[in-house]
Amino acid sequence: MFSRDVKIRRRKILSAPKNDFFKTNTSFMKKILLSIVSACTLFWFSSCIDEPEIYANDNQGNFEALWDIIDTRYCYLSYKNINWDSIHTAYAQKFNKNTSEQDMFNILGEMLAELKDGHVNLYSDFDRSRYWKWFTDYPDNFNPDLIYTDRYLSDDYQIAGGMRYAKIANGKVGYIYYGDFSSYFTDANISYILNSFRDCNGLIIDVRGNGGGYLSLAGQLASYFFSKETLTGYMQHKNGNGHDDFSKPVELKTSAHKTIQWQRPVIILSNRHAYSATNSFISRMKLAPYALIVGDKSGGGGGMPLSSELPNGWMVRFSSSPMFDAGMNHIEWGIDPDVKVDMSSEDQTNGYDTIIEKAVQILTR
Amino acid sequence: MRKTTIYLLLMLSACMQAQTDKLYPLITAADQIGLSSIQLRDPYLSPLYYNGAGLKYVHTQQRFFNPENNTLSMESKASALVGYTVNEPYSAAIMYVGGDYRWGAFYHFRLQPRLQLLAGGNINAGFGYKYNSRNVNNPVNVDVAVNLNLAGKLRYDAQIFKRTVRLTYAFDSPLAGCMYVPLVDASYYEMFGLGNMTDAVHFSSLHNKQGLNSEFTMDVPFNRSVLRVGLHVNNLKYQANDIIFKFQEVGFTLGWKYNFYVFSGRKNQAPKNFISTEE
Repeated sequence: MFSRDVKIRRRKILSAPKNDFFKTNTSFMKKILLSIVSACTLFWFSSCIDEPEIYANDNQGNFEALWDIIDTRYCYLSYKNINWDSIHTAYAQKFNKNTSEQDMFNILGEMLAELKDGHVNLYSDFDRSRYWKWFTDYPDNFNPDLIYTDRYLSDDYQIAGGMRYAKIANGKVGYIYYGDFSSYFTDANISYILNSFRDCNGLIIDVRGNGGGYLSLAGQLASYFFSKETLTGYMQHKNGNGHDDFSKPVELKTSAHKTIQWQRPVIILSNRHAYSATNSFISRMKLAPYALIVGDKSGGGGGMPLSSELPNGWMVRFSSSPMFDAGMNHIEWGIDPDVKVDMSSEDQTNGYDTIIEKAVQILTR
Repeated sequence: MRKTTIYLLLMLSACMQAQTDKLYPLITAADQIGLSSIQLRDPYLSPLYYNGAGLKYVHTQQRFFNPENNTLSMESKASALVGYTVNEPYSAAIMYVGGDYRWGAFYHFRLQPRLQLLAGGNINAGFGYKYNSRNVNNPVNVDVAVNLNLAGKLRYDAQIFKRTVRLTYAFDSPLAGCMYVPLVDASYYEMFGLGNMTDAVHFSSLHNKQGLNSEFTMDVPFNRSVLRVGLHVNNLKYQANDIIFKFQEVGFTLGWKYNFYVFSGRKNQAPKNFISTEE
């Protein structure tokens, strides 16, 4: 198959060590290799990465783990003037190693309730702790049954992308109810909706009872009401374990949608149950050129929550990234309306939603 | 006429010999699939360790740079791993999908007729996607890293039951590179939605990234194929932004090894005695 010359060449190449380069450089290469390996090994062992210890999976360990997560990662301890060390002392006395799982959950849930934050929850296989006083301690200012009466949405309202909409006030006002910022909508949905209201004096977007959802949808919905990109807030995140270790604020801008614009009066209806992403939406719309906020102060929830876990597998959700309005004011406690209106029980009895009626009055005067 | 015929035959013979004089550097390739035991810790998702199993695929290719010089070779290796892990209390799970490509070069030391030491290094690009469906606003974290690694192999050809079985121990370890590690409290909304990637990309070296990726393989020749059995162990720890990540994988693979050469293009056509289905 091969010529004699090729056979000789193959034998030379394939059998080793035969060439001069290999003979003269083998020991040098070996020394270099040994030096590199030794240096790496020495450096490697001298700077081994030690894995952190995990708290024990017992009552004490789970308590310490939860307290530590909040101490190092919760963003409102300083803002809310919470003495978290004192809370540790107080709650450490409420349990022992024999405390039952259910009781332990209740104790940890009560400890988290000291933060007075609707974004803080403890999740187990059998329950979820929560703090709801941000809306239960205040008037509802919303009756979901009332908006489906003939005076408002009636039975033949239309639905697009989670939005329920119809013309009200003898066709003079467009009304949208959007109850959940987890419900996606598209530009096409909004285009159809706004086009159907083109002959109306103005638009009402009712987000009462909307407990939040995706921040990105809050920005998208607001974008249809701005004619130019506008700075509408800021956001930070924790960059250390200290209570005041925060990053530089990042600008939250609301962009103007390129093709869909509603540059006419729009009223946002708000109540105490408008929380989290809804709160962020209301904060943005405060700066929209033709927008008014009518109703009650929103519930707040200005801290974007993240999740962590305890050694026993319970999940804790907690506010981690605080958000601010354009003036660098916290929005954790809510946004004040431009026009404060409470629903009256007399109006409700007569089939009127006081807040919607006020919005209609403003749009049709 | 007779002289013409003889001259033609001699010329034909010379042409055939010229073609058979050329040395073809074969590419030695191997495909392996296997099962792995995985342990990972990603503090961005959870402070707990997650343990589980995964399915792995590896494709390796190695050839000499120059067939005239059998001391320098190049190797490329692509791998993929899909795994499912759970925390110790079995209350949550992290799904893992990862891929890695590395390319490197080795210098061959032929210490003895049956024993070779390959020393060199490689560059790798790795990606991992971890998903914890239970988490809120931080359900996903990704591993993205590029590393320069120290690499080596020790090969021994053993005579076992009249077969030459190649036993290989291979390893590589990261020396330097860069990696993506977010701050534990920075949301992906802020990083990718608002474009704030501060403190997310880090230089890595032995001070903050330590790992050893090793594999022991046994190549057993049969009549028409070479079976490759492998045991691999991958230990990796890295830290940045005051959080420490861990990825540990122990697995068993089975595959086959084969040699091939690529003929392509006008200047690298296959010899006439190589028959293709394209003809």
